[in-house]
Amino acid sequence: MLRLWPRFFVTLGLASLLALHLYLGTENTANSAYSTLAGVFGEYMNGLIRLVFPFIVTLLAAMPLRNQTSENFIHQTRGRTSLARHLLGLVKDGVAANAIYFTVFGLATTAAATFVVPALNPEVLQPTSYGLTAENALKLIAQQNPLGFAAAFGGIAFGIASTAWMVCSSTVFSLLAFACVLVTRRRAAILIPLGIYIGESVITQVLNAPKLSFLLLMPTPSSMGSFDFVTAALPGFVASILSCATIWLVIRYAPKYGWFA
Amino acid sequence: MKNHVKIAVAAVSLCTLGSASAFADEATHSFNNVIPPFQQSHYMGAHIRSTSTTSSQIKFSSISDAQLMNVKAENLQNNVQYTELKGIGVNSASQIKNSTPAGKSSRLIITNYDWNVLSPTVIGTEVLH
Repeated sequence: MLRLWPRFFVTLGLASLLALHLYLGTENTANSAYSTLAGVFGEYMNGLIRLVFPFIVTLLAAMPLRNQTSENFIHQTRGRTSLARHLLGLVKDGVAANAIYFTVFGLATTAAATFVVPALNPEVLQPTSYGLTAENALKLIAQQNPLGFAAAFGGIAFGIASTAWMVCSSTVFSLLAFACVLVTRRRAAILIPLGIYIGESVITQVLNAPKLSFLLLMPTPSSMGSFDFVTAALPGFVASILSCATIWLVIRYAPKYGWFA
Repeated sequence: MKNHVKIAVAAVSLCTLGSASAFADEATHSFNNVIPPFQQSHYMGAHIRSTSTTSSQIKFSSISDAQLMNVKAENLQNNVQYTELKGIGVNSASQIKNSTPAGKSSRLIITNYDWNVLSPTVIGTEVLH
């Protein structure tokens, strides 16, 4: 029974975050105009979620592992199952929990941006105010946003593409969070992904490479003067490779060096 | 005598051209500004509107760091801010809603589209009318 309460509060917190995200996003579109529905979707994503994203992912993905490592629970379970199988099971659960949450998150945002906002503010789409036709606005967003190509198929298609990107982003940070907890095996490890997220973003932006900063790529890529898919996917790809390599090394050498023992 | 006529003609021409360009400058203003980071607003210079059209115009010829901009107009008599156009790029003239009446002062407000540490330089022209 006691174990149910933390889950209840986590679920309540996540639902509240989604509700706040939808409320603030809708509020921000009230006195604004955009060239395409992709811009409306982007308004939602340029909010609170950009800052709290790594913390939410880490909370969902690595909290069970953090609790187990700090309570030596892994040591107790090793008699029943192999360490590798146990850790990979936790990775799978963490990635799945994030995938479910961010699928709901992305689809709810898509519904709000595609149906709710145009109903509340019929003048929200004004491509002509940008000196563009609706068709040219879609061509332009395809150059400005790595997922802009999907906008040509409608707001829902763009929302689904963004949701898929969001799930991939959460998977990358789930792996990163796991690697951080496994390497440090400290309670504070849960804050390291947030530090990496902010630190990497500040460094790349100061070095005049904003297109490589996590802050503008996660959970969904922002729009810039020109922004292609490959550049946008690069930081996440590198982070996931490094995280997987770290997890593999820890699992491989844990028995030898007595980690988790 | 001929030289005097030439000088007089040149002087009249210069005065005429000068007043014409002064008239054009009344509505069109070039700018070259640095936009502050973290989506802080940059307030353009205030100008008195000469007509009561419902829009002003802005055209960015250059925005550094591949950034996009948000722009809105403000009526300085009552501090009402009109609809903000978000995600404006370079090389196309954008119409910014501005219902400030003629004879009243107004200004444009520019903000970076993204929340980041960059301070992009924007170059272009604004037409407040």
